[in-house]
Amino acid sequence: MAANQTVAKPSLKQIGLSEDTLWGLYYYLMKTRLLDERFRKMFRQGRYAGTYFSAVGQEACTVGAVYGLRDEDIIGPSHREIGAAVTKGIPIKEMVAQVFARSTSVDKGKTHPCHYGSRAKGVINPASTVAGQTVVATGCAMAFKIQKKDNIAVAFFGEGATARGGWHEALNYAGIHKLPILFVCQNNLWAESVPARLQGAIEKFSDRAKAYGFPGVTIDGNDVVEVHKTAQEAIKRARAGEGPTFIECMTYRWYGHSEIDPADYRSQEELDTWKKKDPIPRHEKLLTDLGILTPQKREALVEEIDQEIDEAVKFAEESKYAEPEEAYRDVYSENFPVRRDEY
Amino acid sequence: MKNTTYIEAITSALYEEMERDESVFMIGEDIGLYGGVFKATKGLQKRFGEERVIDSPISEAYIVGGCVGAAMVGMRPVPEIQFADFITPSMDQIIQQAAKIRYRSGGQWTCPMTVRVCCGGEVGGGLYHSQINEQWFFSQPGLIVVMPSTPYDAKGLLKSAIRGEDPVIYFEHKRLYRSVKEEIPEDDFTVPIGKAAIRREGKDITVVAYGLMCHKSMEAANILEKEGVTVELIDMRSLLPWDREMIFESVKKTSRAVLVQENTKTGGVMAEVSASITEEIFDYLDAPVTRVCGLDVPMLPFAPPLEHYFLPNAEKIVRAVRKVLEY
Amino acid sequence: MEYKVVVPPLGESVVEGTIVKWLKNEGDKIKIDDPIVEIMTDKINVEIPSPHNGVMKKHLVPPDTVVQIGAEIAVMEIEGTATESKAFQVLPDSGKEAIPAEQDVKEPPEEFVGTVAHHEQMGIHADKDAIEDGIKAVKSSPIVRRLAREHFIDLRKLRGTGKGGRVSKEDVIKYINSRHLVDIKKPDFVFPDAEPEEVIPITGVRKVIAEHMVRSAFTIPHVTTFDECDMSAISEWRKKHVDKIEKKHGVRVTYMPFIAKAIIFAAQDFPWINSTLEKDVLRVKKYFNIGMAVARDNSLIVPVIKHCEQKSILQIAKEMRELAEKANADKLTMNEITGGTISITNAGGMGALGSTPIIAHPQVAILGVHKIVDKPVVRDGQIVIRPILNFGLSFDHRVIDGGYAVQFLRRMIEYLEDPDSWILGVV
Repeated sequence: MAANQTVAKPSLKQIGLSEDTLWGLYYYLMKTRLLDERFRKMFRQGRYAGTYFSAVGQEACTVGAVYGLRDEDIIGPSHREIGAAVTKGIPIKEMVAQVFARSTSVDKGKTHPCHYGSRAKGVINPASTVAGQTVVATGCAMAFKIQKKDNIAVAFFGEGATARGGWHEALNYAGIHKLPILFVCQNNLWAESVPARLQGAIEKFSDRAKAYGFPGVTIDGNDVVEVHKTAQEAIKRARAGEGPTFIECMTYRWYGHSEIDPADYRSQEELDTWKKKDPIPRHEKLLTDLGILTPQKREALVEEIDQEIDEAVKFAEESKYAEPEEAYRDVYSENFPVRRDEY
Repeated sequence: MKNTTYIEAITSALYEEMERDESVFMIGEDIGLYGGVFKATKGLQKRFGEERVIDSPISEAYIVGGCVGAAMVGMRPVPEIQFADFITPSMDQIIQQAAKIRYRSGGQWTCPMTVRVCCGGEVGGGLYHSQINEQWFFSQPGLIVVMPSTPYDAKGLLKSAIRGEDPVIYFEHKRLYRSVKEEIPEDDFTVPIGKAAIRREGKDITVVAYGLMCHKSMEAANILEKEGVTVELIDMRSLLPWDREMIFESVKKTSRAVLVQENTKTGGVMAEVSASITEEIFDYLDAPVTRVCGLDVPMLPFAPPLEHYFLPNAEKIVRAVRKVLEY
Repeated sequence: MEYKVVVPPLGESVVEGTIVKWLKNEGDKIKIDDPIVEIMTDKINVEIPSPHNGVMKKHLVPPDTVVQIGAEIAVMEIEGTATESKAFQVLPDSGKEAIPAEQDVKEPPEEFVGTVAHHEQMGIHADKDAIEDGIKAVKSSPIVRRLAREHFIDLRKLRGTGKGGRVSKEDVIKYINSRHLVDIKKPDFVFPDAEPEEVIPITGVRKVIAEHMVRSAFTIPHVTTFDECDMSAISEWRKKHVDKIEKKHGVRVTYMPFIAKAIIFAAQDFPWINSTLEKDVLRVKKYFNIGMAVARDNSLIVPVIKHCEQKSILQIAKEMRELAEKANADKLTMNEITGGTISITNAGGMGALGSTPIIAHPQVAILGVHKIVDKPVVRDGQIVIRPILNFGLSFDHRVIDGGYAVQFLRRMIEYLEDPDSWILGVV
C-alpha cells in the first residue's frame, strides 16, 4: 500500500460522501467483521449446532449497498449476507440467537444458522435454494410498483446463482416492467468449489443485464465507497421508476464455503492476493487520511462492538431452545392449526 | 340465484374480489387481453387495467415466486398456471418459498397467495394438458390445497382462498368448466377451507372423491342405488387440510370405504386417506379400504381409448363398490 | 279432583279457535256431556261437551280469546279420578312430518346393550378368553372384532353370510339385536308412556280374580303340554354369579327372569304364543309384557312386567321383586296388572311338580313352572343326576295348534339348556 501513497490526500468533496456516511460505512464494516469472526470462533468452540457461512472479506459489498436504505425497502439475501442483516439494522442479539437456534430468535430455531431475517427491518429470511430470494425480491418490487410506492428491493446473490432458471426469469421480468430493484452480485470467484468460469462463459457477469434491457456494471466490491456510490445511483434510478440495475461486485471470501470446507480447491497465492485487498484497512486508510479515524477511536469502536457482541452472546446462550410444541407453530395462519401426532 | 357454470363462478369470484380489495391482482400467461386460454379471466384486464391483470412472460417460476414476494409486502396475488402440467418450473417457489416463508421466519412473513391451477383429464389433452399433480402439493405442510367440484364451491372456495392468510393451490378442473351448472346465490358467500361436503347420504358404503371424480362417483351411486346399495358420497373439496372428521364419521357408520382419485394411484391423496382410516379407525372397518385411481403410468396417454382406459369412471367405481360389499 | 279443560282437536289443519262464550259459569254444576264452552274456528262453531261430572271452578280465558289447540282454558272440580288430559299439540301442517321418521326407532335402554361396561358394572366378568378364541377361530373384520369384544360375543356361535362364510358387521348387529329385541327397528306398537288410570287402590281383588278365571276357563279351550328341562347350565351360572349380583345390586336373581328370556327367544320362531285373542282378531304382539303370578295370603295376583324384550335379567329380577312387594302391600296400580301378552306362574315354590294353569284372558298361553328336582337322566348312555324342571304350557287351542305349542316349549327349553349362546347379552 505504501507504494500507492503517491496520490494526493482526497477530500470529502472529491469522494462525494459525507463524513457521517463514511463513518457509518466503517461502523457497519467493523460490526460485520467482528461479529463474523466471533461466530467462527464460537463454532470452533462448539457453542452452536450446524455450521457457519462466513462472509469475511466480502463485507464492503453488502454494507456499501445496504447502508442508507429505509426499513420498508426489502432485502432478498442468500446465506452469506451477514453484512446486509447488520447494516439493515437487525439487532445483534437477534442474530446471535438465530445462529444459536434459540427460542429468542425470530424463527425460534426453525431454520439454519445465518438465515437472518426481519420483517420489521425488511430482510427476507432466506431459503437455501440459491437465487430463490432474487425471484421473491423481484416480486416485492413488482408489488411496490403496483402499490405506487417508492420503496425498492435489493437482491443479493453470488455469481453461481446467475446460472439458475428462476434468476433469469426474475431479471427478465424486472427488465420488462422496469421494476425498482437492485441485483447485487457478489462475484467471489468460487461458487462453493466451482470456479466462476464454470458458471458462465462471460468475462463479466454484469453482461447478463444487457440481455434483460437494463444497465449492468462491474465494480471493485472491496471498495465500500465505490459500492455505496454505485448503489446509491442505482437506488435513485429505481425509486424514480427508471428500472433495475445489475451491480457485480468483485470480491473474495477468505474462508471456505462453510466452516467445514477447507477450501483447498483454491491456491494460497490467490487467497494472499485477495487478503491484501481487505476492504477494512482500505477504508480505515481513507478515514485516517480524512482525519475521521484515529487509533483511539478505532479502539473505542472495537470495544463498543465487542461489548455489544458479548452481551448478545450471553443473551443467546442464556436463552432456551424452544419447546417441542414450537415445531407445530407458524405452519399456517391461526385458521389452520396443525394436527398433533403423538408417538 | 343465478344459473352459473363452474368457469363463470371462477370469473365472478375473481371479479368480485378484485372489486372488493385493491390488493388483489392477477398474473399469468395469456390472462390479460386474451382473457385466458379457457376465458376464466375474460374482461378482467379491461375492467382492472394492465397493472392488476398482468400478461406475464412464459416464466412460471417468476409468476409464482414474484407473487410470493408481492404477498409478503401487502398484496393478495392470484397467479394463474395455465396448465398444471406447466407448474414444474415454479415448484421451487411454491415449495421452498410459499410453503415455508411463514415457518422459516417464525410467523413474521406471510404469503396470502392463491395459485389458480387449471388441471385435469377427460378433455383429450394428452400427456401435457391433462395432469393434476395435486399430490406434489398435498404433502407440503404450509400449503393449502383445494379442488372444487361444483360452481358454488368453485366460487366460495376461491373467495376463501383469496381472503385467507395462507398460500393456496387452487385446482380448477377444466372438464368441469362448462359441463356443470347450478343456481348459485348472487350475494357474497364463501365456502370454508378444510371442510368436506356430503353430496349424498347413504348407509352401506362411503365413497370419497374430489373434483371430476365426485361426478363419476355420483353416477356410480345412482347405478348402485338401483341395486339397493346406498352410497354416502363425500366430496373432499379441501385436500390439505382434509376433513378427517367427516370422512371418519362416515366410515365409522358404513364400515366400508372406496376412495376415488383421478390421478395415478401411488403416493396419491387417497393413499393418505386410506392410511389414516386404517391407522385411526381400523376397528370400525368391515372390509379393506379400496382405491379407484388413474393408472400408475404418466398422466395421461393421449389416444382417446387410452385416455378412457386411464381414467376412473362410474363403471370402475361400481365394480369396486360391489367387490367391497361382497368382501 | 281438579280437571283441566283443554281445546280439543277441531279438525285437520285447524290450529286455533276463538272462545265464543262460556256455557257454564264459574260455580255451575256440570254433568257428563253438558256443553261447557262454545268455540269458533274458521271452519266450524262447536260446543265442547264435558267429559266428567263436576263443577266449573275457573275460566282461564275470557270470551273472544284466540286459543291454540291443546290450550288449557278452564278448571273443573270433578268426582273421582279422571283422564289427566295432557296438553297436546297438533302440528300446523301434519303432512309429511307426520310420517314417523327413522329417528323414532326406539333404542334399547342404555344399560341393556349387553356391553362390557354393563357387565363389569354388574360385577360379572365373562369368559373373555372364549371371546378371544372366537375371534381367532373365525375370519373376521376389525369392526366385527370390536363388536364381539364390546358385546361379549363368541363369534363361533354366529353363522356368517359374507363371502366364504365370513361373519359381517351386519351379521353381528343382527345377532346383537336378536339377543334382546324382537324387531326393534320397526316397532308397530308404541306402548303408552303412562296409562290414564294412575293410582287405583286395589280392593275386592278376589272378585276380580274370580271373574277372570271364569271368563278364561269358560271361553278358552285349554290344552296343557308338558316337557322337561335340564336346568344344569342355568343352575351353574346362578351358583357362580347370583351372590355377587345380590351383593352389588341387592337383588337375588331367581330362575324366573331366565325363563322369561327363553320365552322371548323361542317366540321368535313361534310368535303366536305371545298374542291376545279378541273376538275374531288375533293380535300377535311384537313386545313382551309378561305376567308373573305372585301368591299372596289367600289370593293370587299377576303383576305384569312390561317390555321384557328390552330389559336385562337384572332389571326383570328387580321389577319382579318390586312388584311382589307392592302386591303384598296392596299397592299395585292398574297399569301394573294389565296389558300382559303372556304369563308365567310358578307353583314350584310350593313344591308342585306339575299343574295345568289357567290362561289369563285374552292371552293365549301361560307357562307353568314347577319345582326343580334332581332326577336320574340318561346322557351319552350313562345314567346321571340332573336338576330337572317340568314345564306345563297351557295354550288356547282355538288359535294354537298342539304341534305349535309343543315345538315352542321345546325351543324354549333348548334355550334354557344352552344359555351360553345368549346369556351374556341379556344379564
